[in-house]
Amino acid sequence: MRFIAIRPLSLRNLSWRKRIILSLLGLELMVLAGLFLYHQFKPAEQLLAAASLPGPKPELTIEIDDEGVQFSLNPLSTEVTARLVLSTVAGPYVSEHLLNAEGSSFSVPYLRAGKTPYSLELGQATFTGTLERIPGPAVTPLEPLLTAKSARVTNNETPAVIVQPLDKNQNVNTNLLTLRVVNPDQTITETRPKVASLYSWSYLPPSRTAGKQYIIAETPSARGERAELDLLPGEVARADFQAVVASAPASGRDTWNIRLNLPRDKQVNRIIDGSSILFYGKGNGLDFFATRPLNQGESNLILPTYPQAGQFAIRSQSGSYVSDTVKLTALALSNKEIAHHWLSLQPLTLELGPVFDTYGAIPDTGSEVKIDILDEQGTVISQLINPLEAGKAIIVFPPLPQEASSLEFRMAGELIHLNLPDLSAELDSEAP
Amino acid sequence: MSPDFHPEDSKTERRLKSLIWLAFAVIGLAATLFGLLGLSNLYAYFQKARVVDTAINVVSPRKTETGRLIWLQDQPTPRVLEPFMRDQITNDYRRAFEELTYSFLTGDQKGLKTYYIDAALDDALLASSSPEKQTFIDWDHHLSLDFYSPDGSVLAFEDSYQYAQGSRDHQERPRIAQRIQDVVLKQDEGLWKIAQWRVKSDYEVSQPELLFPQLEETVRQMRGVNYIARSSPFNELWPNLSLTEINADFATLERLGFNTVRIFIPYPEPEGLDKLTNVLDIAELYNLKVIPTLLDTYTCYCLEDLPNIIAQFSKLYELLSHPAVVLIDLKNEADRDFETAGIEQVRGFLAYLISTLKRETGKPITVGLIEPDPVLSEQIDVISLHHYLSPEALTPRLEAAEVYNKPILLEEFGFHSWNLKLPDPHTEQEQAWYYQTMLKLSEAKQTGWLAWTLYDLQKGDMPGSRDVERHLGILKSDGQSKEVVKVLQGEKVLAPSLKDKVWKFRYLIALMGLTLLAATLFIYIFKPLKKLKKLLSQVTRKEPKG
Repeated sequence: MRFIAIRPLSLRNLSWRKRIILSLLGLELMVLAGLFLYHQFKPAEQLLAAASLPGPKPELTIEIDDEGVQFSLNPLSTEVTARLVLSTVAGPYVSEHLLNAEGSSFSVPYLRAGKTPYSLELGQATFTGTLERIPGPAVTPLEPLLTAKSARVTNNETPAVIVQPLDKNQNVNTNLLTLRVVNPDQTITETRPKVASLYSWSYLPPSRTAGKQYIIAETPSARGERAELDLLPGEVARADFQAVVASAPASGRDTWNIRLNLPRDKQVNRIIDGSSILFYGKGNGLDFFATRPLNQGESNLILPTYPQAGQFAIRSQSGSYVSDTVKLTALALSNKEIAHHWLSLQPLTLELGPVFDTYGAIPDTGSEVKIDILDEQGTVISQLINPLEAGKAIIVFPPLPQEASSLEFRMAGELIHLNLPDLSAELDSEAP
Repeated sequence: MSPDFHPEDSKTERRLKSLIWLAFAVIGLAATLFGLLGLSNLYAYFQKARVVDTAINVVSPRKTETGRLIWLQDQPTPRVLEPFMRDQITNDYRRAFEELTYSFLTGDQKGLKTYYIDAALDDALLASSSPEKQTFIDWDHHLSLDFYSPDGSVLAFEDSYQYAQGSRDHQERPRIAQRIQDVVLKQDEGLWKIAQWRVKSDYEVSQPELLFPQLEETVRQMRGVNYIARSSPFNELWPNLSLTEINADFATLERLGFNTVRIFIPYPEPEGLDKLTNVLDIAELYNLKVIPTLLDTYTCYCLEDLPNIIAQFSKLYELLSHPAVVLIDLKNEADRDFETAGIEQVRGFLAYLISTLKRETGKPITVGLIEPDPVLSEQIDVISLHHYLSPEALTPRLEAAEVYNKPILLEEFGFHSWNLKLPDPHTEQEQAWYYQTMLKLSEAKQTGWLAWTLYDLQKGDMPGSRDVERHLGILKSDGQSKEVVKVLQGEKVLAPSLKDKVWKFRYLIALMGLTLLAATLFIYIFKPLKKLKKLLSQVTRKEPKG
C-alpha cells in the first residue's frame, strides 16, 4: 500500500521568494476584498447606529440664527446618526449628521424666511414639525427702484417706486418702511407703503413744478441711496403765436416770418428747448407742414411767399395744443395789367412784359411764368413753364391740342387770362 | 559543478528573478486597481447617462400636462398684465420648476442660473446640492397676480400648488403637500426669473370630513361580481368595449340577482375610456351599483407620475360622481406591490390619492387589499378583502378586519371549475359548494361580497399567463349556467361526496394509467430488442485466427 505523504503547509517549507509572492498576492486580495466589503458594510453600520437609540427620547430644540438653523438633541447617551429632511421652498434638503453625547447639535445653512416643514429621524424616533424664520431687520443700502427715469408733471399717472427691504440673508422684511419724497419746490411728502407679496410699492406724489424729485427710502434699521426722478414740463398748453412778417410780395423770393413764443404747459412750466413745433398751412394752394425745434423759448419759421396774390391761413401745433390761425398775405406785384402781344400764329408765339414789382423794379431773370392751357370747360389740359428775362418772357407754344380754348398765366402774384387767338388770322402786322 | 560557477552568481540570479516577480506583482496590482477604477468610472458614466435619460423622460412630458398652471383672477395692479407677457411668464415659471426637478434628479445645477436669481438661486442651489438625492415634483399651480410694476420689469404673485418629495429608493414615506407661497419674478436677460419666494403655508393634504351614514348598510347588501368582458378581457376592455355586450351582461347580472358590479380602469388612460359614462348609465338602467377600480395594472407608485395621475383623475371626477357609483376602489391589491414599490411609498402615495379622490368626488373610497393594511385602513371608508383561501380561513380574516371598525366588503373571492388543472382540479359541484359555504359565512358576518367573475374566459391574455383565470366564471364562456348559479338562486347544493372527490381526479388517473401503460409497453418492447441485439452480435462475431 502506498501512502501519500502530505507535507504540512507551512511558510517554513517555502522559499523566501515564494513567501514574498504569496504575501503580495494576499495583500492584493485583501485590498480588492476591502474595496467591495467597504461599500457593502457601510450602510449596515449606519443602520446599526440608526436603529439603536437607548434611553429616553431626547428633546429637540431648534434655534434659527443668521447662519442657519441649529438642531439640538438632549440628552443623548450614545453616538447616533440624525437624518434631517427640510422641505425648503426650493425642494427637499436632506442631510445626515453624526451626533455624540458631547456635541449633540448640528446646523444646516438654510436661511430663507417663511415656513419650512422638517422631519428629523434619530434612530427609531422621528421629530416632525414646521419651523418659521422671521426676516431680520432690513440692512443698508435699500435700493428704491423707480419705474421711470423721468416723467411729465402734467401726467395724471405718476411713476412708482418699488422697494424691497432685504435683511442680510436677502429675506424681505415686512416691517415699517418710510418713503420721503422731496419735490422740486422743496416741499416734502412722506408715505408709509405696506410691504406685501414680498414687495413694497407706491406711486410718487404729483408735483406742480418741473425739476428734480428726490426719493429716499428708510426703515428703522436701514437707509437707501437717493433716487432721482426728472420731472419734465408737460405738453404745450398755451403760447403766443404770431406772424412777425405777415405780408410780403407774392414773388416767391420774399418771405413771411412766423413765430411761436413763450410756450407753457398747463401748470405754467416753461416748455424745454428742443421740443418740436409743427407749423402747417392748409387750403388755397398753401398745403405744407414744417417742424422746428424750440430754442430759447421760441420757434421761428421763415416761409417764402406763395407765388400768387392772396390771403393764407397758418397754424402751429405741439402735442395736443393747436394754436389760433394766423393770416398771411401775398401781395400782387403791380396793379397794372401786364402787357402782352401775339408775335406770330405759326408757331404761336407770345410776348409778355415788361413786368414791374411794387417797388418799380423788374423781377429777377429766371422767375417763372406758369402757363395753363385750358379747354372750353376751364380744365387744365397742359402746362408750360417759361422763365422771365429782363422783365419779359417770350413764349413759343408747341402745337396745341384741338380742344385748347384759353390760357392762364401766373406770374409775380398775377393771374392773366387770355383767349387763344383765331389761328386763321394773320398777325404779322401786329408784330413788333 | 562547473568550475566557473560561484554560489554568489546563483544567489544574484535568484534575487534578480525575485525582483522581476515583485515588479510583475506590483504592476499586476496597479493594473487591477486601475482597471477597477476604470470600470467603476464607466459604470458611473452609464449610471449618470441613465439618470439624465430618466430625468428628461420625467420632465419633458410634463410640459404638456393639462391644468398644470392656472391663473386666477388678478388683484388690482398698477399695470394690467398683457396677455403675451402672461404667456411668457407662464412659460418661464414652468421651466424654472422643470429645471429644479431635473436638477434634483440628476444633480446637474448648471441650468438653475437661467431661471433663478438672487435669493431664489441660493435656495435652489442649496436644496439640489443635498448629498442624498430626492425626487421633487410639483403640479396644479394656481397663480394670483398681486403686483406688476408699471415699467413691466417686476412681478409678484401668490402661487398655490401641490408637491411631492421623497427618497429615490422608495424606502421612506413621501411628503405630498399643498403649499402657498409668495413669489417675485424679475425680468433679466430676456427671461422672467424667480428672485424671491416665501412659503406662507405648507401642509400635508388631509382627508375631507365626509360622513357616509348609509355606507355600512349599502356595503352589507352588496351582492355582485367583478366584471371581466368575455370578448375583450382585462386590458383589452376599453379599446374594444362593446356597449351591446355590456348591456347584455348587465342584464344577465340583474337577472341573476346581483346588485353591484366592479369594473377596472387602467392607468395610463386607455383608449375608449370616454365610454365610461355609457357603462355607468347602463348599470343604472339595470339597478346595478358600480365600484370603479382605478390605477389598474399600475405598480410603480413613482412620485413623478402623480401629476399625470391627477390629470387622469380630474377627467374622471365628474363621471365618478355618477349616481351609479357607490364606492371607488383606488387600487386593486395594492399590498402586492409593497415589496417592489416600497411599503411606505405605497402608503404615502395612496393616502394622498384617497384624500384627493374623496374631496373631488364626494364618494367613499376603498383600496382592494389581500390583507388589510393598518395604515391604509385608517384612510379608507370600506375595508376590502380578497379571499381565495379555503372557506375556513374566511371567518378569522373577517374578524381580524373588524378591528378597524369600518364596513367590510369581501371584494374578491372565487373558485375555478377547471377539471384539468393539475394538481388541483375542481368540478362545478365543488365550485358551487365553495360559493355556498362562502356566502353563508359572509352572511353570518353581514358582509357584502363580489364574486370573481361572471364568465369563463376563452379569449384574450390572462394576467401572468395563468390559465386557471379562464375558469373562474359563474357562467360558462358560452353563457350557460354552471352549478353555482343554483346557489345564487337560493338552491342548496350538496357537499362533494367521496365519489365526487375521486371522480375529479379522473383525468389524472387516466393520465397516470396511460403513463403506466407506456412504460410497460416500453419494457416489453425494449427487452426483445436487447435480445435481438445480443443475437446479432453473436452472429456477426468473427472467429479468432488459427
